[in-house]
Amino acid sequence: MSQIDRKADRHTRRRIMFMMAVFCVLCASAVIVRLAFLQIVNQEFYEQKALSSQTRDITIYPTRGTIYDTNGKPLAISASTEMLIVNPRQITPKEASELSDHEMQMLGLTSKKQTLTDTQKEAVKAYRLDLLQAELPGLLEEVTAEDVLTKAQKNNAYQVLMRGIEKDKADEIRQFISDNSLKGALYFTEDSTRYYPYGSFLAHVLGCVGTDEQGLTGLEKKYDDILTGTAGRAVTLTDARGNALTEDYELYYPAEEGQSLVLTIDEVLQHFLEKNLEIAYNDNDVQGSAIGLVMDVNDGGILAMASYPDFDPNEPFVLTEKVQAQIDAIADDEKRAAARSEAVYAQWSNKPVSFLYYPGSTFKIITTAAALEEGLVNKNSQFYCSGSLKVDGWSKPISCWKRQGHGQQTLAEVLQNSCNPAVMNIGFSLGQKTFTEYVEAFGLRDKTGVELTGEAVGLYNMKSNVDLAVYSFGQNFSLTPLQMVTAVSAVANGGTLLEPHIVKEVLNADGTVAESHQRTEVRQVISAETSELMKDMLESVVKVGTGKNAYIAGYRVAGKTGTTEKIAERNETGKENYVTSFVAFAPADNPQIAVLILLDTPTVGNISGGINTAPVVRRFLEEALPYLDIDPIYSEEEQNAKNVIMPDLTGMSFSEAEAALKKLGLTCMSQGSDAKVTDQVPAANATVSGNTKAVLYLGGTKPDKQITVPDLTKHSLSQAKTTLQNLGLYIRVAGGVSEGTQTVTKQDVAAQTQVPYGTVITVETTDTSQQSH
Amino acid sequence: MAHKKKTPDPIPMPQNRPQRVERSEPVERCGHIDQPLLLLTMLLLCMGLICLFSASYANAYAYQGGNSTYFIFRQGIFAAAGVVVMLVLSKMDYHKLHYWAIPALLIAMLVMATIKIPGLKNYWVTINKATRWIQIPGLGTFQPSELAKVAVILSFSSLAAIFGKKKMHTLRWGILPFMFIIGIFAVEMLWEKHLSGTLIIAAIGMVIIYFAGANLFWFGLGGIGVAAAGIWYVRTQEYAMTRIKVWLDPFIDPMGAGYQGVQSQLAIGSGGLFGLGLGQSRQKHLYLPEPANDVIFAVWCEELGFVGAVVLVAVFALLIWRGYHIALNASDRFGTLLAAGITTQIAVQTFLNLGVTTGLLPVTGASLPFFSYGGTALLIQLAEMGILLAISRDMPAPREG
Repeated sequence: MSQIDRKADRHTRRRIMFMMAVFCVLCASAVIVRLAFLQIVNQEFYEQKALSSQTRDITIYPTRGTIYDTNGKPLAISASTEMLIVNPRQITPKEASELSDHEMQMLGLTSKKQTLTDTQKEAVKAYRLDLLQAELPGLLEEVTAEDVLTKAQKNNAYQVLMRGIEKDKADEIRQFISDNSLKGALYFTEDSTRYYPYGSFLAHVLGCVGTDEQGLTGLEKKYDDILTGTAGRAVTLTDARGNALTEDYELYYPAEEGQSLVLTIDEVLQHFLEKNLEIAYNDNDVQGSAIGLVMDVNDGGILAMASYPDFDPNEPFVLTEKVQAQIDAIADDEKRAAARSEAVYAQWSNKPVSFLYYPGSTFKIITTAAALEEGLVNKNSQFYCSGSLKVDGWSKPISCWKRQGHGQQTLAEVLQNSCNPAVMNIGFSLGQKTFTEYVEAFGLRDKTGVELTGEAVGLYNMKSNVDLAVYSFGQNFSLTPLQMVTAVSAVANGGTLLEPHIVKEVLNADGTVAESHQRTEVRQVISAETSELMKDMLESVVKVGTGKNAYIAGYRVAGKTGTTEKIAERNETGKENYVTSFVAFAPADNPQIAVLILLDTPTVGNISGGINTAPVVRRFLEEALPYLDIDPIYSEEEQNAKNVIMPDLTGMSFSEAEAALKKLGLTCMSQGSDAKVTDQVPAANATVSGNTKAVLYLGGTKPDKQITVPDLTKHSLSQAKTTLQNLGLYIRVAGGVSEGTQTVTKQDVAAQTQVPYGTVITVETTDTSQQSH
Repeated sequence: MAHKKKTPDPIPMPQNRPQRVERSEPVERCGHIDQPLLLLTMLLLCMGLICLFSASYANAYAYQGGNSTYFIFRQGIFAAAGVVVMLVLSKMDYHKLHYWAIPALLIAMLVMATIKIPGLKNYWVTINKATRWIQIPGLGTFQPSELAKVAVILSFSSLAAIFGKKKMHTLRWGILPFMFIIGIFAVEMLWEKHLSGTLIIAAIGMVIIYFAGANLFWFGLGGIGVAAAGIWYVRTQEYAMTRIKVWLDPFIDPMGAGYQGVQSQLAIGSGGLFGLGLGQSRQKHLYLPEPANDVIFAVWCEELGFVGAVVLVAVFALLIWRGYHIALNASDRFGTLLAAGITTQIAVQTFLNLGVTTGLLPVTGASLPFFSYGGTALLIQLAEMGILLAISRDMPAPREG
């Protein structure tokens, strides 16, 4: 071996081999050990950290379910809107490429590749803050300049500027963003907004939602979980700018869309009810609320439920002007805030289930039915009323509303007269225990179990015969309107107490039925025979008794009045305030619906259920019964008074026209001598009373003159008729009540209005002779 | 090396010009290039190109107007040209490089001096606050510091071979001239604000004179001086201190000074044992700063895991081993020093890069040979491999038994 092979000397060789060892062994090992530490030992730590920055974890918000009325009309819907976010960190630009042309000009820059100095960045930031402050409030009315400034200067990356922005508005702002190179600083994310397309319609039942569409009250709250659905989750890999890397998700749990509710509420009946409550509220100058409730007696479904004043669930925190004024008057800030929040809750309160009142004489239905069922009385039983009744344990006799007494009465007459002493005797015959058992059997001491929030249960504390005496005519213990209607429905439907319900179906997002609420029987409270007897007697209350003002020609309405003084309030304030109510069901022979109208503190007229409330029930039923396809059946007497619609007779011969009118039960007279009818009064399509005499013009037209409508109120019905006839106007009586002691209380055309000759004036009459409690 | 007899220096001092040494007795030369080195080079080049494509396309897409193949296309052209250059150089007689030693040095120094020459200054390009690139119109950019490295290797090995072992042991011949050259380059590199480049050039130069037999005393003295200067620097310069702190725990400032360290380590760590799969790196999607350059190894680790990373380290180690093997077996002192210098350059850059990426060393700019994006650098690396191959042709043929 020759050393010439390797020309490097020993030292050089050694040194090279040393470096070889340094690199190939030492450095390589160090790197590999370090790699093992990073990739094997601590792999999980780094992977977790990496994943959390590499992924975007998005919550997929489900769409909130819709609330429909029984016929599928949407009453509460969620629409997708957008949320405007400001990212304060992005307001200061990092590179010249982020600047708008205007900002470039402002800084005197020409190339987007230039580096920005800190001073330039600050200048752009200040300019942008001014811009946002100046422009955004103009684009979004709800946003103030201070609001924008505060949020845009926060030290984080996410500030919600405004929610629930509709698409058109969002597009305008998008234009503003791109015009000013504000991408990144201002952007939109998805949002959802709850709309109540009919405003205050059914507001108390529907309730309202908060900013995150969380249910605050009503069905929105009660069914919050079901309506909300389940949020989903999507994990996407993103690059450092937050853009998704692929279209696939790493992890995807779809959102479960909210389920929808179909209510038993019938939009049309609800409308009739709300309209009449508002009228009643105004007519009677009601100090509290006008409350109404309509139930399907055979099914327990709530068809309509309302109270007035109401609120708009689109703006649930806006108070009525009157209430707002009262609150503004409070000087103390804290007290004012407290009063405000109390007022908000009060206006959300669904009174048909939360309002507690003494049922008063309407409760005589329950007492009577219980005694009939127990066989303690029958329809032939006789009762005597001297005007008052002495009850052991009470210092003075408890008097009847009619101080002179009702004398001898049958059971039916007791109800017609709403006689207190007779009902007290019936109560005594039941005894405290049995009476209480029936109160419980009718479900008046428990919550009904309806799917609504805020259901109240009243006080009931039977201790003595004095309690029994006043309880038997509905005084000194309280219940809710819903309890009352449920109990009366049981009396009307053959004796079965049903669980009231308002949600008919729960629908899946695809429209299939997830849950359907069936008629739920609670118990048989009274027999069918008792029910039959009660129906007959209660119908007579409307026909001839204190409920006459609920009478509708052609329909058989059964009902009972109720008037109670708010005794607790009198003890407190000394004011004599009343709650008047009227509970009814119809048709009396085959009941379909039960209605309760209640006025909390009416202040007009002789306050009583018969006068203030019964006409409201009549007005409602007059519209509701035809809508429910219940045909009127007129007695001979009613036939004359029923309302008909005038046909168009022009072009007919007189004899043809006469025949057509005769078919409708109308009579006529002629003017002129042509062969054909050329004009008529009343006009075609006008609703007229069945005994109207029409005028047919054979040649020529009716006189072209205007007539001033007189004030008919406080006239008797016959006076009103004569007055109008003399003026050349026609009359129609709402409800078609037969004559007698009827007094006109309302007219549809206001006094002093000019109307054409032959116009039909509709009047409402009230039997003011009735002052029953 | 069985005998211990001291042999006279086998390479006679070139008189006026370097010349091929005539051997007293004929030695069988293998005559062909070193197959293992060629294989390892081509293997690394392929791995490098694949990794570069994977690492760069997200950035290319984001910053090159949606052109995902922007980087790989350019790198591919240089790789092809580089392979041709490598093969041509491998056929060359490397002794001719003696002639190029001094001219190369002067050219490199002059080119780097243009940064201060008013008319030529404009050809320099500033990226990320450092002016390290020269724009050649129509051709693209190149880093003069790459040229400087080659010049240092060439001139140091040539000079050291000419000076001979004895002179190299002295301060006057073995240290001062070389320090002077390094000093000039250091000044020029500092004009570029290119600290890591300065360190690499200094390290390569020192290793070559160390191989050539420089007195270790001066290394010891120099080492102490550098350590003292380093400590003073870190103590007085706040940003240097921050760099050290962030090196020890990059998570103290993950969005600022520690960003590169954090993102690199997240990429490496989340690769685990087997990695996310080739092309599946997530960190390359704009999280890693310049994934095609200094932190390309992190992408490799994330995609191919610990196993792939060890393979890469092993292939580099084998290449380095083979390079030094050629140096040890070169036919003359110049060949030995040249081969060792080239190998040292690859080794220093490789381990500096791996060290920085894995967090063993503080963050500094160092590209990974054959992997990082950079056409001139790749071309020069392949040319260097060509020189190594040329030297390998003169290795003694493997003997039987």
